[in-house]
Amino acid sequence: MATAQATTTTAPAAIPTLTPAPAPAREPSGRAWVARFPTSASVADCAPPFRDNLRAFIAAMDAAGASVNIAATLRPPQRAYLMHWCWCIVKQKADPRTIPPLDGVPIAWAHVDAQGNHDAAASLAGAQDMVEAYGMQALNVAPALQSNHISGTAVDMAISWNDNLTILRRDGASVTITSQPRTGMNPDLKMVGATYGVLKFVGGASDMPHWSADGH
Amino acid sequence: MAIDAMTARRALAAALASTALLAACAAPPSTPDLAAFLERRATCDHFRGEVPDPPDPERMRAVEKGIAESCTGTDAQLAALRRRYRDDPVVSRQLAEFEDRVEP
Repeated sequence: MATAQATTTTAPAAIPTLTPAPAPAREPSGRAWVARFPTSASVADCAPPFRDNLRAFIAAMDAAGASVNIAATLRPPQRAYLMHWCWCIVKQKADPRTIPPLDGVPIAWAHVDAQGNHDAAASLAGAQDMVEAYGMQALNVAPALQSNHISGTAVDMAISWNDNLTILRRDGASVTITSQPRTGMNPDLKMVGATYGVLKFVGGASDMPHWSADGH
Repeated sequence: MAIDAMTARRALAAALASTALLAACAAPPSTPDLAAFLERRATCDHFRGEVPDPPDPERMRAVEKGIAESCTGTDAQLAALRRRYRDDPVVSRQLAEFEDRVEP
């Protein structure tokens, strides 16, 4: 009873006034966006457990004397978003006013003129500049919004060595690779990579530098 | 007698296995058009995620070659397969996972 009285007579706590944060200003599409959210070439940016698997596989190749040159690991989803939608505006004539937004990417696909009206020509020009800066002028398909690179579970790397390659599998067993070619396309090296959970692209020689967590 | 019973069981097992094998061989291939599409589109989607960054002309040529071989015509194939299998909920769900349009 006393407790109830105390509760009813206690002054209510002050409720802070919440002021919505101002929306970040949206920057019109254009070439400046292309330098942002770059694709990584660092193993550290991969997603676990693939990151640790890849690190171990590369360490084994290093220890064996192979040369490993990484071109790409993680492609940030923000970059995939920018590449995808600028291509769609230019190649598929997608309406810049209907492009879905993405958190953390305050881009204005739809440009406006001095009167605040939609400027279709400027919108297209902004997207066109991005397509060119990404080197996608001749690309005949929309860049993916999802992939192993975007998930951090893929790597593009050039691998080479001289003579025979004596390398440790994940279980510690030593394997001497005498077969050809002395590159990442070597079938015996692919088997060694698989012991680390790093799988060569299943599509044969059509994508020679690509390895991933699932072979895709 | 024991040997005879064992022999009979083996003969029965062999007959059943043969029957199953024949049935499997006689069955028509299941949805070869769908299987071909799924494999091709998977390769297409792979290459769609391989656009080099920063731009690398040599790598881009390889990606464009892969795209030309695996992507061309898949928008139309996807639409046709969706129509063909619209009464098959399992296949329809599988096809619904793909983007409607990836080609210009």
